[in-house]
Parts: sequence; C-alpha cells; structure tokens
Amino acid sequence: MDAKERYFWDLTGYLIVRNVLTPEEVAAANAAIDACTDRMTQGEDNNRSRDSVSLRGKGQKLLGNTIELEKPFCDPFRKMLVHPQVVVRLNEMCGKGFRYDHGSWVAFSEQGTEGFTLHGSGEPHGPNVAYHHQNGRMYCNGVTATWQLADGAAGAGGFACVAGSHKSAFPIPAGVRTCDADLGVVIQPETKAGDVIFFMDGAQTHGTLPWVSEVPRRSVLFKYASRTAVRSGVSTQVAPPEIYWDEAIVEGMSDPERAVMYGPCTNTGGGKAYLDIDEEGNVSASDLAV
Amino acid sequence: MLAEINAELGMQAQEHLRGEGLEAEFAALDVRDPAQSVALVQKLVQERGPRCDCQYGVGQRLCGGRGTRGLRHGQGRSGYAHPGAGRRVGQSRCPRGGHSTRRGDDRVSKCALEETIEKEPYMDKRLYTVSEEEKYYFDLRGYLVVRAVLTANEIAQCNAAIDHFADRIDHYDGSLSRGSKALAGATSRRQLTGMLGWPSPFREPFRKLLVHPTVVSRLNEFSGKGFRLDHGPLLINAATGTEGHTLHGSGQPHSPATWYHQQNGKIYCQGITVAWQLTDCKAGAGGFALVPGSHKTREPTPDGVISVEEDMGLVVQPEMKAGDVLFFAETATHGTLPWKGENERRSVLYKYAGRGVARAVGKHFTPQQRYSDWVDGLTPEQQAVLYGPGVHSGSRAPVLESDGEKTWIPQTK
Repeated sequence: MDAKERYFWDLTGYLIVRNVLTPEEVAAANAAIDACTDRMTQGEDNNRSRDSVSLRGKGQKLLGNTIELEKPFCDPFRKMLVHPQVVVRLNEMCGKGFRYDHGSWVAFSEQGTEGFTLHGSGEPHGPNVAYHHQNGRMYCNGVTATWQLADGAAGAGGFACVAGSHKSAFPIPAGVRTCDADLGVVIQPETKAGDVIFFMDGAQTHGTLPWVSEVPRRSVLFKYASRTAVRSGVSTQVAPPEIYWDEAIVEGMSDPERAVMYGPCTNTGGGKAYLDIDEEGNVSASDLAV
Repeated sequence: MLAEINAELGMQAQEHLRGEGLEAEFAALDVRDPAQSVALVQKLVQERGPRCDCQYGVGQRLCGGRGTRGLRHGQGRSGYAHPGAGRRVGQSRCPRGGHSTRRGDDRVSKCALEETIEKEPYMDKRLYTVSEEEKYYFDLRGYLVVRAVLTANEIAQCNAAIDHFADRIDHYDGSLSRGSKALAGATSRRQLTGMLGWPSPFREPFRKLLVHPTVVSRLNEFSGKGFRLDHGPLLINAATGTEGHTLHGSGQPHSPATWYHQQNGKIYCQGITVAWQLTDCKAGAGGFALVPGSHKTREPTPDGVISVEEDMGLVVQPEMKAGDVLFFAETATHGTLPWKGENERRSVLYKYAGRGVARAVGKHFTPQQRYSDWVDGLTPEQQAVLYGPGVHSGSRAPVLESDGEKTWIPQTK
C-alpha cells in the first residue's frame, strides 16, 4: 500500500485495486458460482430499497458462505480470503491481526435488481466499525473487500458510496440515504472484473444502486474486522451466555445479569443483551438498544 | 426477595458456625439451602445465647440485636467498618416496634428480615442517575468515583464471601513493579477470581454488583447500551508493603479495544473498569492511581511516568472509602502505587466493554472452536483470519505478513 493509496483511502473511505485477479481466476470463480446457482437465495422485491423510490426493483440473489462450499467450488474464494493483495492492505487499514468477521457471499444481480438504501456513517459513531487516524497510522475497525467478477461500467449500478462520509459528524440526510435527493454526493465507481473494492463498512455511507446492465453483477463480499472488533457471523452464534462462558459462571443468573454476559457482537440475534433502568432504579433487560 | 435475604443470612450464618468452632455442624449443612444454617444458628442462639463474637455479628442479627463482644454490624476481621455504617443499613431501627433484647425472640428475628426487605431496592436516586457534572468529570479526567454506593451490609456480604474463599487467594506470579524503585514492595499483590461462579449464596453479592443500578446507569451513558462484561471480577488484595503496578494504558498509541471517543454530546468508551472498594483507601495509602486526562493524549507516556519515578506531578491517587465505586477508562494511563495502608486493600474489578469489542477471548477462539470441520481443509494462513476477536489469552491469534505476492505467518520466537 503506497502513499497515494493511503491518501485516497483516508480521504474517501474506499479504494479500488485494479486487475488483482487474472482472467483465469475470474473464470474459475464464475464457474464455481454457475455450479451453485441452485443454492442461491432470492430476496423479496423492494426489500432492501425500503422507502426509496429510486432504488426499487427485483429482489437480490445471494450465494452465501462461499468459503464453506465443498471442494473444488470453495477454492477460488478461499484464495480470495487471504489474497496477498488483501493482506498487505488490511495490515495497514485494520492493523495486523485483522480477522474475517462474516460474509464471503456472492451478490448476484440480474438486470432490474433493486438497490440497497445507503447505510453507515461517521455519525452516529459506531465504535466497532469506526475509522480513526492518529500520528500517521490508520485504524479502521470494519473493512469490506469486494471482489468484482463481472464488469461494472459507469451507470451500471451496484456499489455506491459517499466519498469522505466516514469523517462526517452529521447524520445522513434522508434524501441521501434513499438516493432520491442525493445532493450529488453519491458516486458509483466504475470497475472491471478482477478488481477489488475496499470500503469502510459501517463508517462510510455506502449502499447499492439498482442494476441496469444486461450482464449480471457478480460481486463477492468479505467482511473483515480489526483484531478486537466484532460485528456478527459466528460471533452471534457463540454469544449467548451459556455458550460464551463456563456453565457455573452463568448458572441461575437473572435476565439483567445474563444481559451483560453476552459475548461480543452487535447482532445478538434477538438476545436480551441491553439493559434499561427506570425512574425507580430498577434494572431490566431487553433485546433492543433503544 | 425473601429468598435473597435468606441466602444472605445463610451465608453469614455459615460463617458464624465456622467462627464458633462448629465445623461438624457446618459440614452437615447444604450450602444451597441457606434456611438450614439460619435455623441452626437460631437454635444455637436459643441454647447458648447470642454470642456475637463472630466477625459479622451474626448471632446478634439473628437473635435481634443483643451481643456482648460482637463487632459493629458491617465490621469484619480486617477492619471493614464502613464510615457510614448504619447510614443505610436495615439493622439499626425497626419500623414495627423496635428490637427486643430477649434471647431467641422469634418475633424480632422475623422483624429483622422484614426490615431488610423494606430497605430494598435502592432508594437514593443519585445512585442510578448520571449527572451532567459526572459526565463532564469523566470526559475530562478519565475516571469517576461515585461515593457511598454500597451499604455496610453489602460490604460485609462481599467481605464474608471473600473470607470464605480466602484459601483460594493467590499471590501474583511475578513482579508488577517491573524494576521501578518508586513502586517496589516487599511482596506481590494478592488476587482472587471466580466470584460469579461460586456456589450460592457466596456468588450473590458479586452478581449484584455486576448489574448494580449505579453501574448500569453509568455504563449505558459511558459505553452505550449493550455494554458487556469482558473479563473479571478480580479481587486485588494487598497488605502493607505490597508492591505497585507500573502505569499502563494511554491515548497513544491508539487502542481500538479501549478507545475513548466523544462526539456530538455522546461518550463512546470501549473499555471501562468498575472497581468496587471493600476497604478504605486513604490519601497516601497507595492503590489505584492514574494520570487524569491521559485518555485523550496523542503523545506516548514518558518512562518516568510509567515507573512513577519522575511522574511530573501528574499521577493522582484518589481517596476512597469502602462502599465507593470507581469507574475508569482503560485507555487512561493508570496503575497501582505500593500499598502503605494499615488496613488490607480490597478492591474488586469488573472489566466491561462496548458491545462490539473484545479484549479477552472467549471459549470459542480458534477456528476449530468457532466453525465446523470444513476449516480443517484450510491452510494455516487461511485459518489465521478465522480466529475470534480479542487479545487477552494464553495463545494469541497468528498474524499475517504479505509482500503483495505471497502471504505467510512469521515465525515467532
């Protein structure tokens, strides 16, 4: 990662590294996807576009957990997991000891597939995905590496972001979130098959524009975290107190006591991990953070 | 609530029996049934009188307040007397007619139970309300002491449970003063863990502290809702002459796991330690010390401050009383001064974290512990990024190096 890349990453919150995969590697990954199309899930129409008018469309197709596929289908994706071009950058972006949090899914978008309302922002601050720069070092707790397996021409749709939004201290205006009145700040970078997009997942405002190209979008998303940051994935599964701690520690605990014993993750899967206190000082547990 | 009170009394009653040399009777009790020990003590009190010479005044409490040699309620063997004993203790007055002094008066014993029940829950609103002054102070200084949170009774319960497991207290294996002349001492600190998993009723006082309203109110504000216990509790126990601990933690270098950040009126402190004081820490006695404001510094801590040999006048040791609770940002530069107090130091530390960060690794840390068999087909480099979050453990996750052409795990010495 050279000085130009560091400058661009710190300034905009994303970075595209060109031609990382050879045409043969792109073909191998696409062949694995083609062999697994029957395992794709189909999202509902107008699900991710929510209240947006400009992002509406058909439901998103996904192929999940590609690194867990049986051989040989997993091989192209496992190679991406610790690809030297990823490792060399994540060691600087997240710091050494970065980890795979969740993902490795393929976003497969046919023409007319809906977009995804923009999310992530510098405000409110999200500690486990936040970006910080101090004394010449970068600390980004959540980074997504998106491998492009098909071209994404200008205007085709797909990944979009608000450059510089990881440093914003103001909430996203509703029109930017929906892209219905985006103030001209939303961009859709042009990419080619074989490129890798890095972006600050959670800190930077990002999302997806509806796919308008005749050639389907094929993007593989790997969600990384710094060594001590956590989002979801397996962490959600092992977070319940009875799993995370030795049995004797949590046996017989009340709901409020159990709440603070949930393991680290921001998606507790409906677990009552949040404590409230009422006007009389009574503590209660709920599954909501608000 | 009655069950909790019974458990509380049962724990103290068991201590009483042991203190009276009645080990055989004690051994015959089912520790899971506190009512047994309460009944046995009451029987003994009727037969032998309220010999309140145990350290907790149990006979006095169970018989209704008569004792000749007993210590004050809430006062233990190590000088645990709380300066505010009686301040919020449900023992000094009886709203239903006062205490009888007649031996074995069942009516009075019952009254004592009811009175204790009526004192719950917490009545003092300041205990579960974060003031603007507290937020200002914590943001500015990186720590906060909330005074007189625990009752003398609650302090006594904690101390009694610790005494019960005193044989499990270990000396720290190594030196935490790390060559500092200013922090040197005759012995290493003593410590004890595992309180939350102790058999009932000994664990209850510490589980109560885990989600005490004073903690929940402050941590919801300082770390955000969904805060979690990362590790602990840990009792730090020191006798006179115990060495100190070099100062650690700082705003520089940045630590994502303990990061302190304030934005638009909200505090986001990812690592907070809550230290409950079970004995007094007088001015100059030693114990917890920190550099106020250091959670915001962008410069490395000078060596003289770390060792406290040349601390530039920046290191402070807050005076605290038993029953006070200390909150400090883990990213503030903090440590321990040698213990000079005449009394024992007893401080129980709970290490909390924000919802999405981890310092201690959980039981599911390695790829094999987190995933199914498919990870066995991965290379060591691929497995390296599948470790769970956290940095505190006996084994650390391997790190990866890359030159852009290949990826490898560097050899460790």
